[in-house]
Amino acid sequence: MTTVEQAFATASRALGEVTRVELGSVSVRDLGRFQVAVWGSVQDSAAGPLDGTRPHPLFLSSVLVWGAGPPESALLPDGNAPDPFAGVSLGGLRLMGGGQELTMHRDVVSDTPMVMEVSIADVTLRQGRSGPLLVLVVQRRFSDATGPLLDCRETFLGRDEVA
Amino acid sequence: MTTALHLEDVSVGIKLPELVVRPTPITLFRFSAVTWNPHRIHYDAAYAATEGYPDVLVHSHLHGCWLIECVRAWAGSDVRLTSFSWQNRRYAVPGDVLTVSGEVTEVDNDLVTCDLREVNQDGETCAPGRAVLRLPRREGES
Repeated sequence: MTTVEQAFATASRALGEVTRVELGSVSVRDLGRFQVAVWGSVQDSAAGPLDGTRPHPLFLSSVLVWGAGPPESALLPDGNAPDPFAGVSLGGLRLMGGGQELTMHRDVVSDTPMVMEVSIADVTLRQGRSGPLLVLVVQRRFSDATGPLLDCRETFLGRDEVA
Repeated sequence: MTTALHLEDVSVGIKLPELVVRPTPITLFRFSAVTWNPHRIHYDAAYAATEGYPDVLVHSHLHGCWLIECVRAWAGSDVRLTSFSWQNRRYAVPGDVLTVSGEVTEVDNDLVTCDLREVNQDGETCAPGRAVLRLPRREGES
Protein backbone atom coordinates (compact mmCIF):
# COMPACT_ATOMS: atom_id res chain seq x y z
CA MET A 1 0.00 0.00 0.00
CA THR A 2 1.43 3.40 -0.97
CA THR A 3 1.60 6.33 1.42
CA VAL A 4 -1.24 8.00 -0.45
CA GLU A 5 -3.39 4.88 -0.16
CA GLN A 6 -2.61 4.62 3.56
CA ALA A 7 -3.54 8.25 4.07
CA PHE A 8 -6.77 7.68 2.13
CA ALA A 9 -7.68 4.78 4.41
CA THR A 10 -6.87 6.79 7.54
CA ALA A 11 -8.81 9.83 6.41
CA SER A 12 -11.78 7.70 5.32
CA ARG A 13 -12.06 6.20 8.79
CA ALA A 14 -12.08 9.71 10.29
CA LEU A 15 -14.76 11.13 7.99
CA GLY A 16 -17.18 13.38 9.84
CA GLU A 17 -15.50 13.10 13.23
CA VAL A 18 -15.31 16.57 14.77
CA THR A 19 -12.28 17.53 16.83
CA ARG A 20 -12.46 20.60 19.03
CA VAL A 21 -9.23 22.51 19.50
CA GLU A 22 -8.62 25.36 21.91
CA LEU A 23 -6.68 28.00 19.97
CA GLY A 24 -6.07 30.61 22.62
CA SER A 25 -6.17 34.20 21.49
CA VAL A 26 -4.31 36.34 19.01
CA SER A 27 -2.82 39.72 19.67
CA VAL A 28 -3.07 42.98 17.78
CA ARG A 29 0.60 42.39 16.96
CA ASP A 30 -0.19 38.99 15.38
CA LEU A 31 -2.87 40.56 13.21
CA GLY A 32 -0.65 43.49 12.27
CA ARG A 33 2.24 41.23 11.33
CA PHE A 34 -0.03 39.17 9.09
CA GLN A 35 -1.15 42.30 7.26
CA VAL A 36 2.45 43.50 6.86
CA ALA A 37 3.51 40.12 5.49
CA VAL A 38 0.65 40.04 2.98
CA TRP A 39 1.17 43.60 1.80
CA GLY A 40 4.97 43.36 1.60
CA SER A 41 5.04 42.25 -2.04
CA VAL A 42 2.20 44.47 -3.27
CA GLN A 43 3.38 47.13 -5.66
CA ASP A 44 1.95 49.76 -7.93
CA SER A 45 -1.44 49.79 -6.27
CA ALA A 46 -3.42 52.74 -7.60
CA ALA A 47 -5.41 52.66 -4.39
CA GLY A 48 -2.36 53.01 -2.14
CA PRO A 49 -1.47 50.99 0.97
CA LEU A 50 -4.23 49.80 3.22
CA ASP A 51 -4.86 51.36 6.58
CA GLY A 52 -7.31 50.56 9.31
CA THR A 53 -7.19 47.90 11.94
CA ARG A 54 -9.68 45.34 10.60
CA PRO A 55 -8.08 41.87 10.76
CA HIS A 56 -7.36 40.29 7.41
CA PRO A 57 -10.26 37.99 6.44
CA LEU A 58 -7.88 35.10 5.71
CA PHE A 59 -5.86 35.29 8.91
CA LEU A 60 -7.60 32.51 10.83
CA SER A 61 -7.71 30.05 7.96
CA SER A 62 -4.09 30.71 6.95
CA VAL A 63 -2.48 29.84 10.27
CA LEU A 64 -1.19 26.32 9.88
CA VAL A 65 -0.24 25.42 13.43
CA TRP A 66 -1.81 26.91 16.52
CA GLY A 67 -0.05 26.88 19.84
CA ALA A 68 3.66 26.12 20.16
CA GLY A 69 3.55 23.30 17.63
CA PRO A 70 5.67 20.13 17.53
CA PRO A 71 9.42 20.16 18.25
CA GLU A 72 11.71 20.27 15.22
CA SER A 73 12.65 16.63 15.75
CA ALA A 74 9.00 15.67 15.20
CA LEU A 75 8.65 17.44 11.85
CA LEU A 76 8.63 15.47 8.63
CA PRO A 77 11.57 15.71 6.17
CA ASP A 78 9.67 18.33 4.19
CA GLY A 79 9.21 20.44 7.34
CA ASN A 80 5.50 19.79 7.74
CA ALA A 81 3.91 18.61 10.96
CA PRO A 82 2.81 14.97 10.69
CA ASP A 83 -0.85 15.49 11.60
CA PRO A 84 -2.08 18.95 10.63
CA PHE A 85 -5.71 17.92 10.21
CA ALA A 86 -7.84 16.76 13.08
CA GLY A 87 -5.34 14.20 14.21
CA VAL A 88 -5.33 12.43 10.83
CA SER A 89 -1.73 11.57 10.08
CA LEU A 90 -0.68 12.42 6.55
CA GLY A 91 2.97 11.75 7.18
CA GLY A 92 5.01 11.18 4.07
CA LEU A 93 2.65 12.93 1.70
CA ARG A 94 3.56 15.99 -0.31
CA LEU A 95 0.71 18.38 0.45
CA MET A 96 -0.48 21.37 -1.51
CA GLY A 97 -3.32 23.75 -0.76
CA GLY A 98 -6.05 23.54 -3.40
CA GLY A 99 -8.37 26.34 -2.37
CA GLN A 100 -10.92 27.53 0.15
CA GLU A 101 -14.61 28.36 0.49
CA LEU A 102 -15.10 30.79 3.32
CA THR A 103 -18.13 32.22 5.09
CA MET A 104 -17.31 35.23 7.21
CA HIS A 105 -19.49 35.79 10.28
CA ARG A 106 -17.54 38.24 12.45
CA ASP A 107 -14.05 39.64 12.65
CA VAL A 108 -11.59 37.92 14.92
CA VAL A 109 -11.27 39.90 18.15
CA SER A 110 -7.78 40.27 19.56
CA ASP A 111 -7.08 38.91 23.05
CA THR A 112 -10.26 36.81 22.94
CA PRO A 113 -10.01 33.01 23.35
CA MET A 114 -11.12 31.01 20.32
CA VAL A 115 -11.89 27.41 19.49
CA MET A 116 -11.71 25.52 16.22
CA GLU A 117 -13.91 22.58 15.28
CA VAL A 118 -12.31 20.58 12.52
CA SER A 119 -13.37 17.52 10.60
CA ILE A 120 -12.58 15.63 7.42
CA ALA A 121 -15.55 16.42 5.19
CA ASP A 122 -14.56 14.38 2.17
CA VAL A 123 -11.66 12.32 0.84
CA THR A 124 -11.15 10.84 -2.59
CA LEU A 125 -8.35 9.01 -4.32
CA ARG A 126 -7.71 9.91 -7.94
CA GLN A 127 -5.23 8.83 -10.54
CA GLY A 128 -3.21 11.84 -11.61
CA ARG A 129 -0.67 12.07 -14.39
CA SER A 130 2.17 11.52 -11.95
CA GLY A 131 0.47 8.84 -9.83
CA PRO A 132 -2.23 8.54 -7.17
CA LEU A 133 -3.57 11.83 -5.83
CA LEU A 134 -5.37 12.28 -2.52
CA VAL A 135 -8.02 14.99 -2.45
CA LEU A 136 -8.85 15.92 1.11
CA VAL A 137 -11.60 18.35 2.12
CA VAL A 138 -11.28 19.74 5.62
CA GLN A 139 -14.09 21.64 7.31
CA ARG A 140 -13.20 24.13 10.05
CA ARG A 141 -15.33 26.47 12.15
CA PHE A 142 -13.62 29.15 14.20
CA SER A 143 -15.61 30.57 17.12
CA ASP A 144 -15.25 32.60 20.25
CA ALA A 145 -17.55 32.84 23.26
CA THR A 146 -19.91 35.11 21.32
CA GLY A 147 -20.37 32.72 18.40
CA PRO A 148 -19.00 31.74 14.99
CA LEU A 149 -16.26 33.83 13.41
CA LEU A 150 -15.45 31.93 10.23
CA ASP A 151 -16.38 28.76 8.40
CA CYS A 152 -13.73 27.36 6.09
CA ARG A 153 -14.03 24.43 3.72
CA GLU A 154 -10.58 23.77 2.34
CA THR A 155 -9.17 21.35 -0.20
CA PHE A 156 -5.72 19.81 0.08
CA LEU A 157 -3.97 17.68 -2.49
CA GLY A 158 -1.54 14.97 -1.43
CA ARG A 159 0.96 12.95 -3.42
CA ASP A 160 3.55 10.40 -2.46
CA GLU A 161 7.01 11.69 -1.63
CA VAL A 162 9.40 12.21 -4.52
CA ALA A 163 11.32 8.96 -5.05
CA MET B 1 -5.79 55.97 2.38
CA THR B 2 -8.64 54.36 0.45
CA THR B 3 -12.12 55.87 0.60
CA ALA B 4 -14.95 53.57 1.62
CA LEU B 5 -17.11 52.46 -1.28
CA HIS B 6 -20.87 52.76 -1.23
CA LEU B 7 -23.52 50.71 -2.96
CA GLU B 8 -24.42 53.62 -5.20
CA ASP B 9 -20.86 53.62 -6.61
CA VAL B 10 -21.15 50.06 -7.93
CA SER B 11 -22.77 48.37 -10.92
CA VAL B 12 -22.29 45.14 -12.81
CA GLY B 13 -19.34 45.32 -15.17
CA ILE B 14 -17.25 47.71 -13.12
CA LYS B 15 -13.59 46.68 -13.13
CA LEU B 16 -11.59 46.80 -9.93
CA PRO B 17 -8.24 48.62 -10.04
CA GLU B 18 -5.52 46.07 -10.66
CA LEU B 19 -3.10 45.08 -7.94
CA VAL B 20 0.46 44.16 -8.92
CA VAL B 21 2.39 41.80 -6.67
CA ARG B 22 6.06 40.83 -6.96
CA PRO B 23 6.68 38.07 -4.38
CA THR B 24 9.97 38.27 -2.55
CA PRO B 25 11.75 35.69 -0.37
CA ILE B 26 11.27 38.04 2.58
CA THR B 27 7.49 38.04 2.10
CA LEU B 28 7.44 34.25 1.97
CA PHE B 29 9.61 34.02 5.08
CA ARG B 30 7.41 36.42 7.00
CA PHE B 31 4.22 34.69 5.89
CA SER B 32 5.61 31.32 6.97
CA ALA B 33 6.60 32.84 10.30
CA VAL B 34 3.28 34.54 11.03
CA THR B 35 1.28 31.43 10.08
CA TRP B 36 3.77 29.11 11.87
CA ASN B 37 4.22 27.13 8.69
CA PRO B 38 7.47 25.10 8.66
CA HIS B 39 7.02 23.65 5.16
CA ARG B 40 10.45 23.84 3.54
CA ILE B 41 9.02 24.43 0.09
CA HIS B 42 8.44 28.06 1.05
CA TYR B 43 11.96 28.93 2.31
CA ASP B 44 14.39 26.18 1.18
CA ALA B 45 15.16 26.48 -2.54
CA ALA B 46 17.30 23.34 -2.56
CA TYR B 47 14.38 21.36 -1.10
CA ALA B 48 11.92 22.92 -3.57
CA ALA B 49 14.20 21.73 -6.39
CA THR B 50 13.88 18.12 -5.19
CA GLU B 51 10.15 18.43 -5.83
CA GLY B 52 10.80 19.80 -9.31
CA TYR B 53 10.24 23.51 -8.68
CA PRO B 54 12.54 26.30 -9.92
CA ASP B 55 12.51 28.15 -6.57
CA VAL B 56 10.61 28.39 -3.30
CA LEU B 57 6.86 28.61 -3.76
CA VAL B 58 4.39 31.30 -2.82
CA HIS B 59 1.99 29.92 -0.21
CA SER B 60 -1.40 28.96 -1.57
CA HIS B 61 -3.11 31.06 1.14
CA LEU B 62 -1.03 34.06 0.10
CA HIS B 63 -2.60 33.89 -3.36
CA GLY B 64 -5.99 34.05 -1.65
CA CYS B 65 -4.84 36.95 0.48
CA TRP B 66 -3.79 38.96 -2.57
CA LEU B 67 -7.14 38.38 -4.26
CA ILE B 68 -8.78 39.88 -1.17
CA GLU B 69 -6.33 42.77 -1.09
CA CYS B 70 -7.49 43.75 -4.58
CA VAL B 71 -11.03 43.97 -3.21
CA ARG B 72 -10.01 45.83 -0.05
CA ALA B 73 -7.84 48.30 -1.97
CA TRP B 74 -10.91 49.13 -4.07
CA ALA B 75 -13.68 49.04 -1.49
CA GLY B 76 -11.76 50.19 1.58
CA SER B 77 -9.86 48.13 4.15
CA ASP B 78 -12.92 48.11 6.41
CA VAL B 79 -15.15 46.49 3.80
CA ARG B 80 -17.19 43.61 5.14
CA LEU B 81 -16.87 40.37 3.21
CA THR B 82 -19.64 37.82 3.65
CA SER B 83 -18.01 35.04 1.65
CA PHE B 84 -14.90 34.35 -0.36
CA SER B 85 -13.65 31.42 -2.40
CA TRP B 86 -10.45 30.83 -4.31
CA GLN B 87 -8.56 28.01 -6.01
CA ASN B 88 -4.85 27.37 -6.30
CA ARG B 89 -4.22 26.67 -9.98
CA ARG B 90 -0.55 27.33 -10.64
CA TYR B 91 2.49 27.95 -8.45
CA ALA B 92 4.36 31.24 -8.28
CA VAL B 93 7.93 31.97 -7.20
CA PRO B 94 9.86 35.07 -6.08
CA GLY B 95 10.45 37.37 -9.01
CA ASP B 96 7.16 36.54 -10.71
CA VAL B 97 4.93 39.49 -11.51
CA LEU B 98 1.40 38.69 -10.44
CA THR B 99 -1.49 40.90 -11.49
CA VAL B 100 -4.76 40.67 -9.60
CA SER B 101 -7.85 41.95 -11.37
CA GLY B 102 -11.54 41.83 -10.67
CA GLU B 103 -14.96 42.70 -11.97
CA VAL B 104 -18.35 43.22 -10.37
CA THR B 105 -20.59 40.44 -11.67
CA GLU B 106 -23.68 40.79 -9.51
CA VAL B 107 -25.40 43.34 -7.30
CA ASP B 108 -28.19 41.93 -5.11
CA ASN B 109 -29.59 44.46 -2.63
CA ASP B 110 -26.51 45.40 -0.58
CA LEU B 111 -24.44 42.35 -1.62
CA VAL B 112 -21.88 42.80 -4.38
CA THR B 113 -20.16 39.86 -6.06
CA CYS B 114 -16.73 40.29 -7.58
CA ASP B 115 -14.99 37.71 -9.75
CA LEU B 116 -11.24 37.87 -9.26
CA ARG B 117 -8.20 36.50 -11.00
CA GLU B 118 -4.48 36.48 -10.36
CA VAL B 119 -2.28 35.89 -13.40
CA ASN B 120 1.48 35.75 -13.80
CA GLN B 121 3.67 37.61 -16.29
CA ASP B 122 2.91 34.96 -18.94
CA GLY B 123 -0.83 35.39 -18.57
CA GLU B 124 -1.24 32.07 -16.78
CA THR B 125 -3.88 31.99 -14.06
CA CYS B 126 -2.40 31.27 -10.66
CA ALA B 127 -5.57 31.77 -8.63
CA PRO B 128 -9.17 32.58 -9.56
CA GLY B 129 -11.57 33.67 -6.85
CA ARG B 130 -14.91 35.19 -5.96
CA ALA B 131 -15.75 37.61 -3.17
CA VAL B 132 -19.13 38.75 -1.90
CA LEU B 133 -19.13 42.01 0.01
CA ARG B 134 -21.80 43.97 1.83
CA LEU B 135 -21.61 47.67 0.98
CA PRO B 136 -23.29 50.49 2.85
CA ARG B 137 -25.66 52.94 1.30
CA ARG B 138 -24.88 56.62 1.42
CA GLU B 139 -26.71 58.33 4.24
CA GLY B 140 -30.00 59.82 3.22
CA GLU B 141 -30.46 57.48 0.27
CA SER B 142 -32.85 54.50 0.41
